[in-house]
Amino acid sequence: MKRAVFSTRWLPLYLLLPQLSVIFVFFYWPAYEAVRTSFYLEDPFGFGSTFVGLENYIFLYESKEYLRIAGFTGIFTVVVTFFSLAIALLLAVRADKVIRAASTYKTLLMWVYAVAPPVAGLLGYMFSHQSLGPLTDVFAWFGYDYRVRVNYWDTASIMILVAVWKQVPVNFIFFLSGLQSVSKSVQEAALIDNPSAIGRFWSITFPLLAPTGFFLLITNITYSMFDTFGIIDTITNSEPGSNPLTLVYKVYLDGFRGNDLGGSSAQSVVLMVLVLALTVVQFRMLERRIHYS
Amino acid sequence: MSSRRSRGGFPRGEVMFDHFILWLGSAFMLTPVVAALMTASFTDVEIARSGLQFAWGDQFLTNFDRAMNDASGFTGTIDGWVMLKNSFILGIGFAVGKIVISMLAAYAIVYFRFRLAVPAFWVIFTT
Repeated sequence: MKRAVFSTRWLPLYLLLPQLSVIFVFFYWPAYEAVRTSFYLEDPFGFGSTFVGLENYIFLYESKEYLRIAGFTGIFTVVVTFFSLAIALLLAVRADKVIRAASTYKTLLMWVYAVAPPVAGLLGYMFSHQSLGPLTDVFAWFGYDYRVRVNYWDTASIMILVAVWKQVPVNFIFFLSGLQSVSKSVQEAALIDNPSAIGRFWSITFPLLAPTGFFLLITNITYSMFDTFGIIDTITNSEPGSNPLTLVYKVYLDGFRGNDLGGSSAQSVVLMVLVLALTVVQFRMLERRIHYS
Repeated sequence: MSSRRSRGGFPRGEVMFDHFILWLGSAFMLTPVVAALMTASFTDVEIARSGLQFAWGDQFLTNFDRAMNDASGFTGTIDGWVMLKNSFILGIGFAVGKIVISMLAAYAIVYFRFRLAVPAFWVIFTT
């Protein structure tokens, strides 16, 4: 590691100042406010608040609805992360291999990167519209009555599909650049030792992709938990009712629609702790297990 | 090893299979985009009546003209171009600002030895 030591004492602090002030104003201060309000029961019309201690948290823990949403968020995150990574990896491996039309495929597969989540959600909704959607027609051929916004798991499936669709290009780009950095000589040596393409993939390419894969795993988990708000909002038409939701949407719903600022803050604190845990896991893993060459 | 081989050295069938997978992937990714583009070429009445369209209509330019040039908002002066300009300024501003600010901080942490370096790193990293 480079250690060019400058004797200036105040310069590094000046350099850090912009970043630190941004973080304090836009993260630590709101975070502190969230923790503080999570101990209060706010009047919905803004006339003061009452200290209730941990009551908001206890309410969450005992709320069947909240636990159901947490469960759905878990399933949603696992499924979206798995499929968007798997599809992207499959496509990246193939796109890395073919010679003819390789750049055309790459361009086509990256295109959706530019689609905004709410637009993706709207498209998903139009595809699965109860009476006009092409997907609904496909299900009808198989004799299944596909009813988005009415049936819990039908709505969940289109949310998952859209979220995966939206995330594949990002993963594809990263996997492709990861694959291109796997050295050709290693691959050719493996080609001599192991004639099976699948065997070569699992023993050579996959471990060498581990740093990229791990980074993507973390970003995909945060994506499915936090950045799918627009997708859920458009698919449920901002009126979720008994449709599946993620925890972030629930925070918004309780805080801004229900005016329950205390409960909403308690939920954001729970999410904050979750993210913090994820960050620590990421850091530990980066330090120990995954070796970047 | 006398089977026919393509220029890349892989068996022809395998290459075809690669292309098949990539075709399938491209279709999965692009069908909704194409559908959106085609649907944009019909009147809103037609779309409300029969959903997504998979053919070309004649309303494409009309719809885009409306999306970009129809002014609305409190002052009646906000059209698509103004919003696009705003988004562009914000987008570029955030991107450049973020990179410059975090680059300064990273530079300070990496190239200077000072007591606050480790706490500062964690304060930034946990966000």
